[in-house]
Amino acid sequence: MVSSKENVVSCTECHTRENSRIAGLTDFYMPGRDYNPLVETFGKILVLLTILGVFIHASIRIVFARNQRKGR
Amino acid sequence: MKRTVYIYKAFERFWHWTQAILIFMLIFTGFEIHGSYSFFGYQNAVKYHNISAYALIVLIVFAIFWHFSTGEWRQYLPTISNIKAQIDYYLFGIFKNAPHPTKKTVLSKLNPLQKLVYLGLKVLVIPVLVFSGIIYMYYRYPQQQSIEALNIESLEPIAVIHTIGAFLLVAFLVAHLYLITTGHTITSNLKAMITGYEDLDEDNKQTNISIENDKEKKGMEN
Repeated sequence: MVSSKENVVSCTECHTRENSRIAGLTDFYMPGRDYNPLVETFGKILVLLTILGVFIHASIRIVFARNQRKGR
Repeated sequence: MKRTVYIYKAFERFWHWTQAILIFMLIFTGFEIHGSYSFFGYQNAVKYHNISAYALIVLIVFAIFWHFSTGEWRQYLPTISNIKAQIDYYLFGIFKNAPHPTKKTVLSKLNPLQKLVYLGLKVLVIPVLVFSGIIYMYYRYPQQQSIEALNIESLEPIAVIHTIGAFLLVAFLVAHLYLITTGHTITSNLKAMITGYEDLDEDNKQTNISIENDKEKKGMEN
């Protein structure tokens, strides 16, 4: 099925999270539209925890470096 | 006393920075394809993702050849000794300006935790991403005349595995970028990966442990 030039649609009419043209066709996986909610949630949590860990670690380093400078 | 040590060879630095650019492109375009945001436009994102993917595969082939022809692959053999010392360093010692528990040399450029993490990346995360990515690119829905054994009924498991790998890689990247600053000085690790050379402190306390490490490593000098 190939549509004519006038009827061509952009990728994101279907490959999109919200209001995909084929939102009703749910028996296959479409990149850009579909995702696994568990992977999405845990993936984001993992990345956020890593960022949080970096901030905590960096803050402690900065505080200790300041105190050491004061001590001298 | 300071001492300048040559840590990263020319190919290694070329490999690292090319890989850095390609992985950054892959993550950035990959999450657009995933539907997380829109930046390049979907068609371009797919195009750039595929080009970067092929470029990375070519680079990986060269890197594998380099690691085996130079014997550098042994750098990634995990060690049990000093793992606790290394964890203690990141959790406690680093705040008190304690010396790094292991000495970085050309014979032993990775600390025990780096060995573990990089080995995991090289034998697990990257291969999973590359192979799921290739299947993703060449995926086609089972056809009537196709060979049964090669049919994968759904794109979903491939995409999900590829996405899990991507999230792990992003988490690694965040930690990796931060850990750049934990060298002898804030910028010494970055400088070493750009120039190949690093200024290291000659410190008796830290040489004691690492001399043993170097002895283990002597075998790989050639």
